[in-house]
Amino acid sequence: MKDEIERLLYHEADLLDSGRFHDWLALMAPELRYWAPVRAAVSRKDEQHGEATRLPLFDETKVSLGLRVSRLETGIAWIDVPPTRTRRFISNIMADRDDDGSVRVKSNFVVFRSRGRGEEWFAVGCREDRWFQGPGWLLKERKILLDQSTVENLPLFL
Amino acid sequence: MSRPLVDSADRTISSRVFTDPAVHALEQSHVFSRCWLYVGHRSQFKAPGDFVQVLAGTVPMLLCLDDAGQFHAIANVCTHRGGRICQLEHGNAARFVCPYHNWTFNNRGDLIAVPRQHSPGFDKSRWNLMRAARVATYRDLIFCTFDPDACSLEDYLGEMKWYLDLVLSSSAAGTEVSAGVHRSIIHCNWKIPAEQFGSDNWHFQGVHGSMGRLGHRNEDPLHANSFHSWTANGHMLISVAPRREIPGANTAYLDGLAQQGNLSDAQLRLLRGSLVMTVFPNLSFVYFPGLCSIRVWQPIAADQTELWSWALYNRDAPEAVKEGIRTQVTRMFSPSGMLEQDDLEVWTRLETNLKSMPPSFRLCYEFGAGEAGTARPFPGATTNLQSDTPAFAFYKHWARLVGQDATP
Ligand code: FES
Ligand SMILES: [Fe+2]
Repeated sequence: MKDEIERLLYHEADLLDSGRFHDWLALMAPELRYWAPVRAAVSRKDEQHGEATRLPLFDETKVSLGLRVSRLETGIAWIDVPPTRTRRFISNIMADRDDDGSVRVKSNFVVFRSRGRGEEWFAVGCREDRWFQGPGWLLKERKILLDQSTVENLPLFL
Repeated sequence: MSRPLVDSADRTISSRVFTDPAVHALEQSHVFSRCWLYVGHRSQFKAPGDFVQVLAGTVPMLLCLDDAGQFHAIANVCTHRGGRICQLEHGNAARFVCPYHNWTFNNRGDLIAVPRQHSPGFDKSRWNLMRAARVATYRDLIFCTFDPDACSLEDYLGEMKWYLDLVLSSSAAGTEVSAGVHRSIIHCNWKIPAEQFGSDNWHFQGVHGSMGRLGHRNEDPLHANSFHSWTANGHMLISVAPRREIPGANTAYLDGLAQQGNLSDAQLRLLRGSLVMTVFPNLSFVYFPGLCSIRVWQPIAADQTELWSWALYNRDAPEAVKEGIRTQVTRMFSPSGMLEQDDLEVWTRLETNLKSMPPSFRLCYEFGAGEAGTARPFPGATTNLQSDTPAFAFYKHWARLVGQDATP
């Protein structure tokens, strides 16, 4: 299973890095919950406390992600004109099967982003996913923990 | 002799206003040390001893609530060698111990202990933390100023209070900000977003054309409730009536607020549309039914701004309404927000461009030149949505503070 999950995550990263956003959306379950809590410079205990009710950095459904993709396709979403170059490095993959057949997957990421002629930035963090296996794999839940507490413009799918 | 940075004769502004480090330094001493600055919201404080790290201009500060229920804004900068006395973004502490040599300060900024004090004549009272001259609140917003001679906060906000009340006092319970703050670096001068948020409805069709094309623009620019307003002290606002009311949970919530009677009928009508406003110098709000963000454009450097923003809602709103506002703020006006992303991108390009132009380069603020402000039944001077007059009034106020004579 580990190999299969690894291939799945690499495939997902490849779809995003090559701008095949519709194919990427097809990996999302209709009931997807996709979110990223903000990070804060407080004690570890305080950071985890109330994470879910804190203002998130992402709070998405499959529909809202679809709107983001449609926006990029208008050709006048200036954050993507010209298209942003991204390169994802996915590692430290751990996968565990749950009782309900879903697979919990933890992975780390480094995303390099480059715009125009030399604006460059890295997004670094980890993701906690829940994938379901039907005819193909579908992502049902993704929590993204970005390690930056102050970010730059964040028009990325992570 | 160079031309003034802000020239009323032809309504132009020098690009150096947005790029020159000398201008940035000047505005720290002439603008941020004299104006009332937003530093926090009451809801961030639950118990005596609570504190949050804030910025007042470029100065790192701690906003603290003491045992007597008083707020104090004290520099997070040790008077000994400049150590950072508090490391956490927020928390609860009656005293702060500097990690460098352990000088200890209370949450009013007094130096209360110096370990291993060899010098018997050492006068601790001379080495209290730098602190704001005054702290004051309007509704639930906490402001401070370094100017002991500043006018009262109420006078400073003046006619803008009527508009602030739209987002601050539609419920008698007052407001609260979300736990959690969005912080992002923007590679542009702080005045670019501060101007846009108070006075630039025009940019929507350009910058946010993608959202317009996808049907996410609902504005009736010729409606009587669509106007720009500007007031004394450089505050400004954009009000835009909706083309159609979008039915949903939020309409019911707004109907309920109308029953409470805290706002006038005119104010309630504006709450059905969108409001975007800037309180001089660097506090802004953006409101749509179902979305409200309060944000500060922190002036880090001439070409760098840190945006701190929170979702804002009525304290007694149902959890579903609060949650909805947090979600909309995140999806539209956050670093990942579909509206904000394009603003950030365009502002960054603009700053890079301005930095690369000769210092003689000047920008056009000509639209609406000569107008006195038309009669509308709203506070402040008002004009149409395409006028540059409110923005130019912002810069004229800024130039008065900076002092044209002191222009470097
Ligand atoms: S710098 Fe703070 S105690 Fe020395
Ligand atoms: Fe905008």
